[in-house]
Order: sequence, then structure tokens, then C-alpha cells
Amino acid sequence: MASLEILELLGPVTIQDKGRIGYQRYGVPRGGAMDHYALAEGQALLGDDPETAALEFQFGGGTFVSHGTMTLATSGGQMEILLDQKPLPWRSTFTIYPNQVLQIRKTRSGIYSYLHLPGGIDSSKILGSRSTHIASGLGDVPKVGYHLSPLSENLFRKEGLTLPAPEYFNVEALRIVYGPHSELFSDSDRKNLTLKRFRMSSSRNRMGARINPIDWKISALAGKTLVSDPIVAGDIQVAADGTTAILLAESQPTGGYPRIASVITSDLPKVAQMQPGTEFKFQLVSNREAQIEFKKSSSRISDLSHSLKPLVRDPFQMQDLLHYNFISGVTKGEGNDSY
Amino acid sequence: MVTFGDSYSIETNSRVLEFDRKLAIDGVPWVVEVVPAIRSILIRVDPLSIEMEKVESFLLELLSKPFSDKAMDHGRKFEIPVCYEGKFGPDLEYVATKSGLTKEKLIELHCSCNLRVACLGFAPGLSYLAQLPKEFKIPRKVSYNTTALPGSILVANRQTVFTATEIPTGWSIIGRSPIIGFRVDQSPHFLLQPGDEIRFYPISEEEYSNFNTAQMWDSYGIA
Repeated sequence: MASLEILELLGPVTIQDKGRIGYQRYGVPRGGAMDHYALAEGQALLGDDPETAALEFQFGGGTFVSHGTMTLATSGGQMEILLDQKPLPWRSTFTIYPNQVLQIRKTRSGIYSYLHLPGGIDSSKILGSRSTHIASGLGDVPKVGYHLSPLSENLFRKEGLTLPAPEYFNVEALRIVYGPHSELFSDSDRKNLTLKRFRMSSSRNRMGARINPIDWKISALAGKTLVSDPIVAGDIQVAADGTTAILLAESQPTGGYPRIASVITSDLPKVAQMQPGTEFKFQLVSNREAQIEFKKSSSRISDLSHSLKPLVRDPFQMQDLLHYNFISGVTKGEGNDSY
Repeated sequence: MVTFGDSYSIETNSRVLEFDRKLAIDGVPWVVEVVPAIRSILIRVDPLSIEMEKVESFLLELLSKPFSDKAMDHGRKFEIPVCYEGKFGPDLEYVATKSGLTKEKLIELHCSCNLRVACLGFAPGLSYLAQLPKEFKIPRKVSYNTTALPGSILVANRQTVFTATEIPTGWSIIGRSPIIGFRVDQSPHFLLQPGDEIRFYPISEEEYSNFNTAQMWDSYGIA
């Protein structure tokens, strides 16, 4: 069995797919990839379906050794990647051979980055998903010594494919819609929400990202602690002390703090990848516009497989050239992990 | 999200549950997920399958249908054993003092209530049970640093919570049940559903350790 063994982890790492859908009514956070667009990029690069799970890095990265031969892909925030000390391009596919060492480190853009295996990672599936949710003990927790196994028997995929870097890594505006609690806030707070600027803080995790209003503060609704209502990713929550946060993929299923508005689903990858210190504004859109944007981002995702491009590479830099079999001309590729 | 009231009441919560059932019965194809809560319900739709305007008119029409009283008691009934002794109920003394009752009276009162699973939330399988008598109007503790083990019975603000996983909490822990309402490896994964009715009964430490949880799921008719 081919696998990728974790030798070292340099930051928080989890396994993520599209998350647990249908269990929020039982108190289960949906979870799933923080950047669903990046998850889809890796699936497109390897030719896999939208159900597959990938390794998600939050900064940091890690070191891996391969036991077998398989094609891998990277996506999301750009990191430095070295295969046996030789740099590889990000957001592309490559084949790793037995005993080769893969190093992923130094986030260059964004926050969340992904490593994809053919067919996704074969880890324990609970409530319809392989997503790691540490707080409730769901899904595998990748640690040093853990073997990431590909789910597919077809370990060889087209290598040297790449996707253009998406544009959402440098954003100045996040689009929002009003929600059921918006009316509880004062007119001036709602006006300021879209007039004034915010700064992304460094206080964030998979549950949410704290944001700081620049030169003002949203009034906490003192004495108006709500009965717990369901939460959706993107909700902008104002806590009892005025602390403001955008709730993200792994937010609690229900919460009692009011939410002034919600970031639209198609802008969630922007929030996921926004680095601390970034200044931005909120831009109010209608439900209809939000729906149009959702459709656009869905078609961008389904069109990813048409955007794949071969990497233009210098043959002298191609250390894996030695592994190609130029003579027989036949590479069946399936289920063959010994070279 | 549809809201049926400002706070918990049995009528408000019943309307949430009835709305949940209507949506389930009709099996609306563009509904991805429905999340009933204490006084509100979230309807998650697939924006690729339906226009938002139609969602609104569909929900308004469903809301205009008369509300049946039958929804008030449709839930299944469960009797759940709880050990209130020693390490199982570290805050029992504190709650007793606050409520002006002896520990024995407090346990008796807690076990005399028919409680409704108003909703599940916060963590997998965690149920919010309503409503306790006014003696349980205990504020949450300031710190959030206590760990409640799976099966813990917590109280605050006339509500009681029954946990199914380990959680951090600011509520008072008055007991623990050998019944864990969430199992990872077998379906159905959750013992309780919103609308179910619960009554607790006290057990000793010894009975706690001899309890067969798997049998308990069976005895409720849940294989």
C-alpha cells in the first residue's frame, strides 16, 4: 500500500473535505475545508470528485516521506515546496517516488494550503465526512508517524499540470447580506458597518476570525443576549463586550450572540485566506446578488478542470525525468506502485 | 431562518418542531439541511436549485397553515439514570445553596420534571432540556474553564443540558449519566431528537459503574 508518512509538522494540520452536511441539527459543526475553492482546485488537478479529503495546513507545513509512487497536488495559499530538496511549483501536480522526501513550508500568500492525494485521503469517515474536528473527536488527527493513504487505486495522474493563481488572495472588500439579527443593531452601527474599515486580527482559528473595526466599535447589545439560534459560516458576530468576529467553517452549530450581517458564501475563501493586518471594507449586497455570486463561483469551480494547463518546465530542472520510461512507451499506471 | 418567538416557551418550541416536521414530510428537494433550535429554525437551501424569492414565498405559505396542537406531545419518552453523588456532581452543593434547598430535595425536584429536548446544539449530541422550575434560576459561572465529561448533567437559567461529548462549560455540573447520547461507530448515531421527553432518575455510584449503556439504547428500541 502506497502512503505518505508524516515526519514533521510545523503548524496546525487537519484532514478536510466538504464537511458534515445534515448533522447541524444534532449539534455537529459542519467543518470542512476553510477554503472550499482551494479544495476544488486540488480535486480538479488530480481529476477527482468533490467528495475527496485533503490535508489542510494552517501556516507551518510539514515534512513527509513517500512509501510508494503516486501523483500529488497542492492548492490554496502558496507555500514553498521541495521534493528531495528541489523546488516545485505550487498549485500543480507532481509524482513522488519511494523514499523521496517532501517538504512544505513558509506560507507566501494566504493562510490555508492543501496537499491532495489521488482519490483523496483514506481516513476514518464519520457522519458522512473525513473532516478532522478535534474538539469533538471526529475524524483522524494527523500526527508525526501518521500514514496518509490514497483512497484511489489509480495512483498515477497527469503530472505537471497547473492552475492559474486565483485573484482572491488580495481583497479589499467582503460582500455581506443582512440576516435575522441585523435589525437589533442601531442604524448608525449598520451604517458604519459598510462605511468604515476593518482590520483582520491574528486571533483566528477554524471556528472564526476576530476582526477589529478601525476607529470605532460596534455597540454590544447589552441585556439583549439572545436565545441560541443556528449559526452559518460567514455570520458576523458581536459578543457581549463588543468583540466582533466572522464565524467560519468550524463554528459552533448554535450561538447566543447576535450577528449583525453575514459574509456571502462565495466570499468565504477570501476570509479564510486573509492575512492578519489586512484592511478591508464590507459591501452590502442583496440576497439576489448573493445568489448570482454563488452561481458564478459554483461555475468557476466546475470549470476548473477546463483551466488546467501544462507546466512549462526546463528539462534540465526536471529531476524526475530519470524515472520516465522512454523505451517501452507503455505506461498502464494503474495499481502499480513499484518502479 | 424563521423565528417563532423571543425566548423559550413550550408553544414557541412546538411551532419550531412542527415546522421541522412539515419540511421533512414534504421532502422539499432544494432544502439541503434544516436546523431546528429553541425558538428558531434554519432552512439551508441550494441556491443553484431555487430562486430566493420563491424560497420566501414557499416558507410564508407553509407558515400560514394552521398550527396543530398535536405537535405539543409527539416526542418519545426516555427515562435517564443520573448519578448525583460525589465526583459526578461537583457543583450540586453550590446549586443547592443557591436554590435554598437541601441536596436531597434538589435531586428530587430535578427528577420530578418532565423535560423536553428543546434542541440539540453546541456540541455533537448535546441536548438542551427545558424547563426546570424557578429554583434552578442559577446564573452561569463567570469562568468557562470547567470540563464536563460525556453524559454530564449541567444546569443554569432554568435549563438543563445533557452532554454527549467532553465540553468546556460555565454551567454547574450536578450529575452524570452512564448514558452517552452519541455513538460514532453505529447508526443511529444520536439517542435523542428535538421534541423527545426526558425524566431523570437517581442512581448510586455503584449502579453507575455497573450500567450497560449498549443495552440502554436497545431498551429504548434503538438498535
